[in-house]
Amino acid sequence: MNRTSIANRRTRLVPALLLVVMLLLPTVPALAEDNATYTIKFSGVIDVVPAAAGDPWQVAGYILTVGDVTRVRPTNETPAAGMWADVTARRLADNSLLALVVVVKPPEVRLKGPLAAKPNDGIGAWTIAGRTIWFTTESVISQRSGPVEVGQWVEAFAVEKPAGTLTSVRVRGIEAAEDAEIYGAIQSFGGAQWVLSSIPVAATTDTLILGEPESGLLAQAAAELTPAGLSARVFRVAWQEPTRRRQPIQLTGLIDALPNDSLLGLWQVAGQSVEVLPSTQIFQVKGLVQLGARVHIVGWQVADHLVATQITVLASPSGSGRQFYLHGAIEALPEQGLLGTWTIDGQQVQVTRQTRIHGQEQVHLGAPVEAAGLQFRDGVRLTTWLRVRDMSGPGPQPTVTPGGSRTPGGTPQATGTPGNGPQPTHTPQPSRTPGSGPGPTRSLASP
Amino acid sequence: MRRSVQVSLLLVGWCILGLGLATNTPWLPGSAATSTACIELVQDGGFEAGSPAWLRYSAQGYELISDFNPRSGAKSAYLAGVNSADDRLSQQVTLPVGASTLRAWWYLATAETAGAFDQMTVSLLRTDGSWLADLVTVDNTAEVGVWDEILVDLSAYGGRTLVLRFAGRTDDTNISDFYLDDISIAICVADPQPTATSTTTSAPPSATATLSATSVMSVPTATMTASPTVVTATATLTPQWTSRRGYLPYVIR
Repeated sequence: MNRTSIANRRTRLVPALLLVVMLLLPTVPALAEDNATYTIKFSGVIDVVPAAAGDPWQVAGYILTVGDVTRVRPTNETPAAGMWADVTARRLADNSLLALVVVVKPPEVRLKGPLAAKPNDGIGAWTIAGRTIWFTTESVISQRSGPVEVGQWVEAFAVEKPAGTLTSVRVRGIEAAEDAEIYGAIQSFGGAQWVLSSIPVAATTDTLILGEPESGLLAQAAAELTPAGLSARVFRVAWQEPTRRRQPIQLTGLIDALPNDSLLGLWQVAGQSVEVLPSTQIFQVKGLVQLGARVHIVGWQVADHLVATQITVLASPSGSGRQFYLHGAIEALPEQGLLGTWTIDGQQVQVTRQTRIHGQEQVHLGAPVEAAGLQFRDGVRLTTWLRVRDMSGPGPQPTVTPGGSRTPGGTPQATGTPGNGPQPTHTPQPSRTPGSGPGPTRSLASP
Repeated sequence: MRRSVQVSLLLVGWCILGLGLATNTPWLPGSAATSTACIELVQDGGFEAGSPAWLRYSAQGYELISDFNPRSGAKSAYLAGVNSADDRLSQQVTLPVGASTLRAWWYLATAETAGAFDQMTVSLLRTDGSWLADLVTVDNTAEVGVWDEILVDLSAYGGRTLVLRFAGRTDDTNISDFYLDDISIAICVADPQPTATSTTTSAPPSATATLSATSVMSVPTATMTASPTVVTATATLTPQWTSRRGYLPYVIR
């Protein structure tokens, strides 16, 4: 046997050995934990803070015993009941939970969505993603990431008051997104509605629920803003335990095949079949869904394929473009079908099979829509998502209008023009004013 | 004479810090009856003083000290927050011979949904501005919405005067925000019978703000190392940087 053949044999043997080791590896912790433990992670509302060293914690109704291995990390305040905690714990053989790490954090509800109304002086009731959020003189505003103006998207950080109202700690402008988002504590769930930190979110038969909801656990909802309110596409419950179903799997690879006429259905990615559902979130910002695009997929495994909950395009042959977002009335549509050139508020955009259209049955001339996508160097604007809806949005109206300011979320306007805010414009890059934050703008020498 | 003033300041600082530490919740690990006291090498690590100590650079001209999202006090540093950001904060520090640890708290907000496209890097530069080392890089894949602590062992750089730099950078789509607060390089002195601590739980060095940062900064290294009570490190400090990145693998943004 010459040296080359030995080398070849080694070359074949090494991967084979590695494969054997990799196959055996998962069984090692499984055997080790068979009689004892495994690690779980969850986030929830703190019910009980230990009064003395050695006393248990209670988070989201779960008793957490403490031991020498327990580490507590208060991120900025002294722990107290009502605050939130990210917990890593060991599930013991008797089913009890031993706290490993408890990260205590303030109970800040996060809400992302379009700003439909706000008082002129900023103090009082704002309508964000159809919900009323109260602003005080202590609420802080940042416009660095985008304008905090009616018609634009914002992210509000709020605390829930005992009366069930939300008071904003701070708000910032953000780029528009396909879904509104809510991150809060589960107060009720089941049936047709969940309530996250006082925010009701509808659940439909199409809603994907990841994790098993329980009161007191934290959850995120990605939701559509409909005339009836927020309607969840996905609920993600902040609980991870290896024994539970739909364990998240991640996959990164190139798209080999796509369905013929829409984004829904079976994709082939890195040799695997991936099912895309109406509830699957698809993010086309770094590039477009097309053959050869590199995508990152989160989902769970069923018999012979992966069911995708979230797909992010990391890069695509078409390249990326400048993001645009606009809203207004539909002024022109293709002669046949929905694919082709649309005119929205005087601006032409392309709708292709890469476009996700929400509220397709409501598409007609004059209907209010919002649309977002990528504008390429040749000036073509390719719409990646489009939603028929009124920007003023739904939601309960406040009974008080502090300072005599107008009532937020007033009567929806036929044109879909948001409130008294600026007229919809094409904003490939949200306008930003350098130095709009507190203090004078400074540009110092590069250190 | 000057040295005796400086030593007095150190002692006053230790006493103040000791009082500050003593007010912590007693059952929290690491806070119980600790008698370690520290002096602070970073000036205005909480950004409360209008940050004259920090050299700031923002490619797009943004003010980098903000009241938008402080961890403690009323202000923090706010890096990036726009596409194609290149924001930097830096400060010169003189590290004593022996052990020292950088602590900093950071917080992420991001529109990214996968992949690491936006980063914040903690680096050391030489005083002439040339790059020496990257200590830590965090990115948009970390958990959002939570203040997390960075710990870096700086003992390898003891005895040198260097520039500590925090740089936030983003690509051209999907904005990320990086917030920084309570940055500290504390030199700690142990009690003759120190209480064992076993966690990385930190106490914000708020008490150190009462020290004259200028005086502390001007303490020669020799002064620090000459003291027989200067410890090389508290046993609690992690030798490499740590963070909860990846701590909660489910993505909640």
